[in-house]
Amino acid sequence: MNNKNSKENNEINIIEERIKENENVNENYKEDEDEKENKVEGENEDKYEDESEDVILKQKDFGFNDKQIVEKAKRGDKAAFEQLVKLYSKYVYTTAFFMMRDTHDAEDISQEVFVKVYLSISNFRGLSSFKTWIRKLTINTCIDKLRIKAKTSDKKVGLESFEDSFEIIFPSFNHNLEKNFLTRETLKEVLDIIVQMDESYRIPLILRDLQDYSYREIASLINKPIGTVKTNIHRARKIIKEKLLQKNKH
Amino acid sequence: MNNIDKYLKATKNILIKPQKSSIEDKILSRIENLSEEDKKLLDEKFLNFLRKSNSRIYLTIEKIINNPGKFLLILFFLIGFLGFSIYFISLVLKKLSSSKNKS
Repeated sequence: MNNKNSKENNEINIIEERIKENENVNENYKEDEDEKENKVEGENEDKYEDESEDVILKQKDFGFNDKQIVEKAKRGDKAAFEQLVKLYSKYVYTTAFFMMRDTHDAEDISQEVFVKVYLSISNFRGLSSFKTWIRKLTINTCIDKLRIKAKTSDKKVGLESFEDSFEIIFPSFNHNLEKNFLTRETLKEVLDIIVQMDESYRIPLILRDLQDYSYREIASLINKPIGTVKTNIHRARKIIKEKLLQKNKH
Repeated sequence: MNNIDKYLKATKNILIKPQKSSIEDKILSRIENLSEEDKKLLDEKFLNFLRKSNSRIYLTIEKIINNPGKFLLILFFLIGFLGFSIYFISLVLKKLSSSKNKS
């Protein structure tokens, strides 16, 4: 029993050290932002990507150990809950952002999701992973918000094109720098296209291809027949392919 | 379409950097200052979601319904294995009974 506790404590200490390192990386990034105007753009991008890859790698490492953090948070450990927020806040924000296409809504939803998690985590039995649980909660919250928006928005007003820019944190792909760069550029274009899409295509595509929902689950979530869901996803993929081909021609 | 699948798969691992201040700080400060309105977020819909995510039976049924092909494959494999086992045991029993008769 003592050995098990000391092992757990060791692992928690390692995680806490990594979070502190992560915070240092973020502080360094903020200092770099202040000096951005004086630096060459290419150099600055490389530095940001290195730091962001660090963030992603560290987040991936945590995935294996988050069961213990979740257990601690369930027992009321505030520090453990803060670690969960640090681990999953960007993931929740990203999911909400692509669903809502709005940074303010994405922030509101992120806060709402974590408030719900905070108030109910002691009742979470852990039959699925914490990530799966928080992902489904985020999607449900987004769908509810979209329904409210649909009811209250003026249907006569046309869809405004999405003009905000967004910064992407990429995971590391491979060691081939040129291939890496081309892949990242294409990914940026794909994400731009997805974000600009009409809701009827964007939401099913995101739920199917980015969130791994089944057609049945998507149909039940958005109250549409399965056939319509499949058709819209197929059309969305076609739109992406056509727009990518157009951009490559130019 | 294959290339699109590759890029769509890759987008699953991407994160977006929140534009303004740290999203973590906002979340943590909201949690530190919970209001009665925040407690109302645990409405009937959420409690229903929580109940379902804590129900092993519900999650198993969902898995089967969402992956019918996988479930059928496992079922056929089990039936095939069972059938083969019964056939093999009956063969062994036949051989044993025939060797007893000979003796």
